[in-house]
Amino acid sequence: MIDAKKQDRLTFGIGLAVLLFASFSWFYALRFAPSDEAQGEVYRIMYFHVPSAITAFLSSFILLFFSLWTLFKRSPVAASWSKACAEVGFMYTAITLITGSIWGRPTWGVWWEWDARLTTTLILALLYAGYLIFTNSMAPGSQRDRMAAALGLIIAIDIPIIYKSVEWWRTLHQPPSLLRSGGSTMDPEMRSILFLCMFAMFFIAGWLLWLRAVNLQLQAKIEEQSHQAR
Amino acid sequence: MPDFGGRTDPTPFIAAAYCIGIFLIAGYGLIQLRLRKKLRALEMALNEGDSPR
Repeated sequence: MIDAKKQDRLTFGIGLAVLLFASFSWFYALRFAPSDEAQGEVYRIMYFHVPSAITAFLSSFILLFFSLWTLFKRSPVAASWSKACAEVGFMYTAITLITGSIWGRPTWGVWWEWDARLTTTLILALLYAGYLIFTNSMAPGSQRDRMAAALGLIIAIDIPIIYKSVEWWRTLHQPPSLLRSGGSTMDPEMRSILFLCMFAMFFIAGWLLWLRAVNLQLQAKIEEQSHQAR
Repeated sequence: MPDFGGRTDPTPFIAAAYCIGIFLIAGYGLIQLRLRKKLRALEMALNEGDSPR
């Protein structure tokens, strides 16, 4: 078992390595990715926007897993991981909306459109925000954990709706070009750079998740210890 | 000349998107690292308080 100091040093070291990897992926996307024939250079925002969106969706699936774990096993550790997932997921959904809006202005001519994909993603951000407001406003305990887990399940339901929104409704947002039946329509070089950026984003999110979940567990342990000391 | 997206200078848009994204991610990470430091200090103080003098 490694002691606290060593664990924190390891956390910091992994964070630094992940940051370097991510910086390399962003630099590569900005410097070496080929220009898009139709969109010109502005499409380079996609190398940040798409990985952020997929990370936000992935966070909700991890949240679903920990919510089910909390519901069936009543584990406080799973509850802290769920909360960490919701925080990281909320941040990535916000990044997705902001970067998408910045890309939309020069491409579509508008910052925002009440299009199905955008609206369902905004709903995801609101669901994450609701989850966080709920968990922060209730007293810690198994009742809060179970109710938060139920909310976690609702959040996960929104993901397939977001994914299918471009097929179910007529939208301004383009249909899937990466994960689609019949294979990707993306240029192979662009696709490999996008995968590089995606992996970098997954590593960052994983690191943030780990950092936050351990902090929440530490916080709970300190609160318990201080209650016992009184 | 590209059909769309190429008529306006894309640089400020690209810079804004990357800067905001990196700022949010780095900010959240730094807040958590600082919090970890504070929590460790609190944990140590509590453990010292528990130990017999």
